[in-house]
Amino acid sequence: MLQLITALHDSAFSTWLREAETVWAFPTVLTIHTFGMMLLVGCAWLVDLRLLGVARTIPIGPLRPLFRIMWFAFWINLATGILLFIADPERKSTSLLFGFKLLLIIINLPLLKRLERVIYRESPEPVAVATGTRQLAAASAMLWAGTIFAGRLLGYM
Amino acid sequence: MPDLITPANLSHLHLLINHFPTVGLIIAFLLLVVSIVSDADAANDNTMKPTALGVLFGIAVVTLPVFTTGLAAEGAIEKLPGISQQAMSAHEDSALLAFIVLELAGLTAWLGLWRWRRTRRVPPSLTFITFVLAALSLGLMTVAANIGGAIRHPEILGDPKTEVARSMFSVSSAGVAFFVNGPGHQWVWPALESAHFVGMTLWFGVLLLANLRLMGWFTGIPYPALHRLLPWALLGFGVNEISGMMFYLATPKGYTTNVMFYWKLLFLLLAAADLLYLTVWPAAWKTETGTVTHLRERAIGAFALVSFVAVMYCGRMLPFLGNSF
Repeated sequence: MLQLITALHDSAFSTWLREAETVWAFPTVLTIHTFGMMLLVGCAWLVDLRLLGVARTIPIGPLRPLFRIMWFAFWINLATGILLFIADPERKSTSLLFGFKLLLIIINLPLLKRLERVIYRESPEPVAVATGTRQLAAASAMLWAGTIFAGRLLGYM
Repeated sequence: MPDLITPANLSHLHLLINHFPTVGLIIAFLLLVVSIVSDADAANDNTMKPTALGVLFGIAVVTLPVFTTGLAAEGAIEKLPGISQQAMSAHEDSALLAFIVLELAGLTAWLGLWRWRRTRRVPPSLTFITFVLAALSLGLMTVAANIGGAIRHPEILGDPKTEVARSMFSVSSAGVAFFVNGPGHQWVWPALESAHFVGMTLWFGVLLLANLRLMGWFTGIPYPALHRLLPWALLGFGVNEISGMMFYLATPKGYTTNVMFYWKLLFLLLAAADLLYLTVWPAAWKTETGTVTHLRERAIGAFALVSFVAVMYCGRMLPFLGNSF
């Protein structure tokens, strides 16, 4: 495993990503990752806020396309996240903070799936948001905030 | 563009746009006073008060580049003969307090506008608080501007060696820098960066959905319902303005000499203008369930979203393009 990480670190692609004197390598991947974060968590928080009782006059049914945007942004960030890992595998693979960030995402993804299923199970428009759904939304929103914090702090480890 | 970002030009820019929080603020304040006095027989369609509040919000936003070009101007002239270093530092600290109070006035002005859009009425308590904060910031801005004038005007100062009195109405920018960057405070910068990303995400989410609705998507949602989300965008704006100003005060030279920072400020003004547009735009407010929107709203929305992404891009690229950090 360790050999694999070292080999990855020494590969031409990893070295290029990390060290190339061009804005198109690491800086651009990092910027796209930030864009994906803004899109994914921005939309997730909108849904969570609505479920938690903010702006109750917004009908929940028509919000559904936000989930498509979220998944689109998630795949962008999985791809750019893998690239960011390849650029710096030695430190990322031994970082507790990085593991913590991954853990938060791994817990949150099924919550997001479940949230979508629960909200749109009762069509067309739920009259009141169930307590369980609200708790789900609150947990998911906090996990996203934790993910942003952990991800941002990774830059300082 | 890099040729435009010269110390001399930035110094000039500061002297040009500093009229917004001084002369501009006087006009905004008078507008507000007249709107309050004439309120007794104001009809429902009286738009004087929202106009005054909108101008005040605009001036609060534009004062951000006024403050940030100030430290660029300092860098440009600090080595010239006859410059009072002490006056510059006193000017900066009194301007910081005036800036903080003006931003609070901008916040309450925006809340007043937001309420007005919903109910056609600005709550008297909000009007009163805005009036008090605007009056306070006008007084503080006058103090700051007066000290600023003493930096390079011997005819005002008399003897250039005369010590400029430090105003007691000031906030120490060196103190802020120490809090952010001082020994033992290594956790502050990363924590503020994390908050900065949270604020950005919150603001972007609300802006995205509101603009997409006005661009013709999400037609099942009436715009007035989305209007209720706007305070969350302002919250994100606030978190980012506070954290951003702390970064800036801690390491001003990393920003003032970086061309990306000025692009970021420019796009930030556009994003703030979009927030004002989303708050009061009549055509937006009339967008009900199923209402088809016009090309104008589509163009504004697209432009606003591109501007917001550009703010993020310029900020993210600060360490990579240009010469920061």
